[in-house]
Amino acid sequence: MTRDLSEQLSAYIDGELDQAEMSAVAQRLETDKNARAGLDRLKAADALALAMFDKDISDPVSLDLVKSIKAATLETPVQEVSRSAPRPIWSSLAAGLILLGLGGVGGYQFD
Amino acid sequence: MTPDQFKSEMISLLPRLRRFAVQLTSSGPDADDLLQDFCSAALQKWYMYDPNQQLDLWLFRVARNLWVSELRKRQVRFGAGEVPAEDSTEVTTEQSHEDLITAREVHSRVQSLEQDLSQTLSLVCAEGYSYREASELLGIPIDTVMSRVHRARKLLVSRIVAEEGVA
Repeated sequence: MTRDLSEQLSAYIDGELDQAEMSAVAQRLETDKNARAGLDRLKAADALALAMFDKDISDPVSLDLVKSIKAATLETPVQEVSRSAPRPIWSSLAAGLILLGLGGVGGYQFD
Repeated sequence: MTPDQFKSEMISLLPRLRRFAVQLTSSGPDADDLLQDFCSAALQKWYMYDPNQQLDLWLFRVARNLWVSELRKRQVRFGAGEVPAEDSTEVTTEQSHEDLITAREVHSRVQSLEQDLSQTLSLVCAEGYSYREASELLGIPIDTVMSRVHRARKLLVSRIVAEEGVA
């Protein structure tokens, strides 16, 4: 274990140690008075922090903001229509042949 | 998720979002501006939200990204007003200039350190996010989250001890 006890205790409060470390800390807390005192101090710090953070959350949120969210129209952008696939080469060839045929027939008729 | 569900959940999250904005900005007026801006950004980008993820985390991320971008803009804005040393008309000794830089650095380090600690502790302790979630949200390693949460608690412990000593 490379972390010092205080850091371990902090992560222990958050349940962020692996199972082996959680058990080791829990075991130590049963016998080590200083470790228990350290844990209590960190928990007291949490209580103080929560009081500070709760103060921020109790501030009223602007009613205008709530109204503007309610009134907002949520749009989903229309996906850009994909360009039609280029015509295959055979269609161009066929069109060319038809034009050639028409030209030939036309030319024959005017002779 | 329908647009109405999205809006309704977003409204219910507003107090927590505002608290996060306060943590990011360390200022009430800035927090309200940020809240307004990122709500507007989130409403515009709502279609990008994946309903498989937590909406609060998504919104927090939008807020943080917007704030980081705002900070960058401010740096550019304030930076533009600085005068190059060779153009300066003020006569200052080397010593006083050094002192000024050191004082600024210390002030900014202390301020940013406290803010970082407070933000991280708020996400873990008040919002109940895991270290992994907080690390993803803040874009920092999990070990840094663990260390910041610990340092924040230690700092508070020292304040409690100091107050008890005074009382």
